[in-house]
Amino acid sequence: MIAERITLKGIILIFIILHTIQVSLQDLPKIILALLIMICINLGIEIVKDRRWKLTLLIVSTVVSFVLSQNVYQWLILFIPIHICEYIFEYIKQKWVQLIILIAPFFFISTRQEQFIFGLILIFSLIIFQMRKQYEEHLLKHETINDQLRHESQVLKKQLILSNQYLKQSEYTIKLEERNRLSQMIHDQVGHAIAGSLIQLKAMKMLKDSDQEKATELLQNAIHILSEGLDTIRATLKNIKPKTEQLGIHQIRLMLDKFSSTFPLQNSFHFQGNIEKISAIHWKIIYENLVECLTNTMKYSKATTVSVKIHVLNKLIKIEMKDNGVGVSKVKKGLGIQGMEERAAKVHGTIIVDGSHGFSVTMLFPL
Amino acid sequence: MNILELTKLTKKFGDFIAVDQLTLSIAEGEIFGLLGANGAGKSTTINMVSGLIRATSGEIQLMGKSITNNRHFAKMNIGVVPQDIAIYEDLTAYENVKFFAGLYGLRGTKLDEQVKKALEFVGLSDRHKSFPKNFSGGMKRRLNIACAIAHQPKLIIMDEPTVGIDPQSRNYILNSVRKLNEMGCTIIYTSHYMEEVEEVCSQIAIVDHGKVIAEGTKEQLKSIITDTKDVWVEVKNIDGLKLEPIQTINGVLGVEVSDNQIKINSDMGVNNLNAIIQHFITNQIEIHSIQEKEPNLESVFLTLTGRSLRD
Repeated sequence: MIAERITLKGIILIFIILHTIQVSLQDLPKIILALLIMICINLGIEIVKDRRWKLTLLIVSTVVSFVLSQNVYQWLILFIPIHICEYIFEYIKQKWVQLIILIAPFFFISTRQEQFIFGLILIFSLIIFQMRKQYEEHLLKHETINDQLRHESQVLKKQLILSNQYLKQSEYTIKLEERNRLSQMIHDQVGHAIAGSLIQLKAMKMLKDSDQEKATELLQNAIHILSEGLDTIRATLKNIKPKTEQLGIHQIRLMLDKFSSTFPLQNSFHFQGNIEKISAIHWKIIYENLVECLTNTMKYSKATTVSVKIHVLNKLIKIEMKDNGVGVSKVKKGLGIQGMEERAAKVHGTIIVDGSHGFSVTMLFPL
Repeated sequence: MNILELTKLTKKFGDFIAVDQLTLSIAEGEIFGLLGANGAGKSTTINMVSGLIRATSGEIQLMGKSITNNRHFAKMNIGVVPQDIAIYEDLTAYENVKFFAGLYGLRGTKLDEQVKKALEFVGLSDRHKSFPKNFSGGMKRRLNIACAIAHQPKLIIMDEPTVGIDPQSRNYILNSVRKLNEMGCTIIYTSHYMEEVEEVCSQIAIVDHGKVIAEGTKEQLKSIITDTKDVWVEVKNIDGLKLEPIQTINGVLGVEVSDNQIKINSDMGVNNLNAIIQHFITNQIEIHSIQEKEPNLESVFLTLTGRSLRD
């Protein structure tokens, strides 16, 4: 409240100086001395840090200004209302005490004119101090909320970092596990087969001159073991390799979720019918075209949701992407749509673009 | 032989693409149905074929000849029944047909002969002296058809010929479409009425946003969606019904039971309704109702374009 206090006191000071000049009093030196004393004490209030010293100086200032007003110059009493306000706002909590302190000075003031100006300054200071107090309370409240939010955001950030780390870690772990599984499998199946046949072949090399019959038998064994090993490898690889439809659907879902996490765009994804019928090349085209569509949606549509439906019919795949954005009344074919059409044409498909209810792209691929 | 061949036909109105690289061939002797919602590009295509507007790009060949270089030949061989009736109310029926046939260069007795033939064909020869303003909507349509066929074109284009007419006239028109076809004309037929197209057309193309999205006979179109049908049998009491024997009936793919209803899913190409009913009769199970559900053109259209034809 320093700024308010100094401003108010400054205004009173200027008022007194102007008044002195106007009336041209005789004991001017005395008045100047009184004013200097007042300035000293009041600067002291602002300079000292200790609350008790402040209070003491405040009371001293009040008493001094009262005494000086009685003996030297009457208008020095106008400093008192500001002191009162300062006092009751800073040091008094009870309302009734505040009221008494506010009213009390009026009994010490003799003339009507003084009482009037005194009251006016008192009310003005009260209003300013009250406003300042409320402002500070608001500020405090907002700062508290701000702190709280900052704290929360820090906690969330920490969680995010942790879960990202976890994600990375688990990705790594899964990779390791997978690698481990693969190496185990290679060891179990390939390793054994090769080691087994190697022994047979070595033995055969030793025997090939002395016992031809035995050697042929060993060779046959080696061939047998190797071909069996090859079969198991083939079978395992077939098991390891994910099915096309699983890969396709996961890729699309992943891509949609990625878009949803980067932009404020909710997505829904449905499929219907026998999706095993969709070949790898179809999946590739579907994926590429959907990326194109979503990019367009992000750029132009102002949409909040986007839905993707894959419907496998008897002799046709229908893929529909639709957003709830602004759409366009007349679709202008740009490079993006042309690209989609070209990709679709590779599998004799058709692309239908419609901008009348949101923006929708329908792909039809014959099976 | 293909009477009409459209190759990458495109029509742009400013930025708007009404017909988009449309490729279509129509064999001679077909009744070819063109299905599409409003604004799908049907009428634009027809207007380009009949020479009313020029294509932005692409080619139209009529009986092997490009129509841009052979406009007279094209006009002589195409008859158009437009969507909006185009006849003169102040001329008699006879004069109307004579006027339009005269535009094609017919003169003298040949003109008279063919006008009479055309009026006879649409069943208006007894009214040839009447003025069309006294005609019903159906009669006006028939007169309009007479105007389009008097010069004996090879290809007749009918754009929504049954809009706003009574059922009798509609049957008459559908029958005359078949008769014209039997007489050797190839017909392109557009309609909002899916049942009409299903009934009369031998080959159908579904057009959407200026592109052909599916083409074939109605059976081929249906088989795009599915090649099975469902037979729903509702019975009084399901006790005593054995499901395994139903599954062995020719063409049956699966049987499901819910409450007193049995859903039998079977191959669309096999007619096994008799065998199914026979099974219920021999097991002395009382049938309440029986219903066969197979996809129709409407559902094909709805599935492919995502909207119904009459939106």
